Amino acid sequence: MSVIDDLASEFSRLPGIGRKTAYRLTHYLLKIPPEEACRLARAIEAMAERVRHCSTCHNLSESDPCEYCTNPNRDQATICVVEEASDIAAIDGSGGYRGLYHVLGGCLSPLDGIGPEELNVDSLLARLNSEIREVIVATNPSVEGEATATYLHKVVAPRGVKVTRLARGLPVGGDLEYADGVTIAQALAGRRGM
Amino acid sequence: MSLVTTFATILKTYEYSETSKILRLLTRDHGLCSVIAKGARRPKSRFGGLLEPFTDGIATFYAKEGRELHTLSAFELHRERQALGRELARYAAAGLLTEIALRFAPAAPDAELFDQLGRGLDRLLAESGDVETAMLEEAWKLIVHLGFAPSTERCSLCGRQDEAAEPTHFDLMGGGIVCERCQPQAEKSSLRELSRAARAELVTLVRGGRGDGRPLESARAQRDLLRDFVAYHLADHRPLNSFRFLEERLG
Repeated sequence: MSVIDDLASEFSRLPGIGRKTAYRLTHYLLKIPPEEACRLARAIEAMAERVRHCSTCHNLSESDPCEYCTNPNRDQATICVVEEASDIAAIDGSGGYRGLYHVLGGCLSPLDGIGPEELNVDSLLARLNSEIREVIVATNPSVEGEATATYLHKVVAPRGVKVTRLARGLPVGGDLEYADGVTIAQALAGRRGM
Repeated sequence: MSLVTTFATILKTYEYSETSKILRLLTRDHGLCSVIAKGARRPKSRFGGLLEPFTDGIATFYAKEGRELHTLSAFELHRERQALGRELARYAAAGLLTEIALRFAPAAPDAELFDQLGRGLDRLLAESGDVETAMLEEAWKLIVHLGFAPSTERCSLCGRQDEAAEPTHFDLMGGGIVCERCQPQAEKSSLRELSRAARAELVTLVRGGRGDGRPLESARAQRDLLRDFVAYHLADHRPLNSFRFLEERLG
């Protein structure tokens, strides 16, 4: 196998990249100056060498504990539980939350054989000391996410910690006329007093 | 390329690329199908929150001959069952029914299987009695419909009518009970002991169940037997994924 085929084969293993796109990317890298291609290679190498799971919250970080766990300016009494480390960027980027995080590493899925043992639930329970007053369950608004939230409520609430779930309903800027029935029903169920 | 419109139940969803979803559907008129719902994960997608497992609707997709993945054009909600996710035992049981359909439904359309799955999921959602009994009854209905009904009244080896009131053994390999005379011929690892109550309840389950939600006396034995029977006859000796989840939830 040639070097070109080898690289294309590696690209095609990435999610959403087929054979044609893999070759297109490979040929793009052949066209750019060699130093740019080497910079990309070095960035990938550095990421693979340095990025690890935080032993406290399971976020992906170069340091352990990660920057969220060690930041004293964050609210130490609230933990936001997310399915994947990539969800942290979305929530933190909103600017509406400044507490701690915990990454589950997925959600409960009977068909995939994923039960609580496959998720980072034990380490979440181990973090529930007397300082923690609230756990915000920010799993996806899907059937699997809902089942995961139900399970977390079942195991966290008996420890005297308040468990909350992200609201579900209409997207900001959306049009009610075009919303689907499930979303409208969820929005009505979660309506709040004014 | 033809435009297909059919009743469909969403069995499973997979995230695809940054914004799309791939759905495995059990359809009434086209059997098992895979469709891609482009842009379904965008917050303002026209599919909104409809494309979730256990949901029934009318799916419209462009079917290309020779292709396995079709493009979903519309999904009109008929019945959503997202509340199944709010109780783990119901969620696990619904997972088992959909896994049976997902893995063992024939390629050809089977309207009765489609309807049976829908009835089973509706029952799990509404069951006010024992969820495990409901799950066992609905799972056996699917298995019997798929043509794997075990022999519960005649010996699976010699065909002789067996006295239903007596405890007996179930032979996984033979696909049913075995009389005392034939028992030595069966492989030991393939035999499961059935008490008198377990045998009577198995007969009822395979005939469609009582449907009253009363707990079974032999619930644990029935669950183990169902797991082993499905693994042996339908799943290359491997238990279904949802069984492990189910056992952890039900204890």
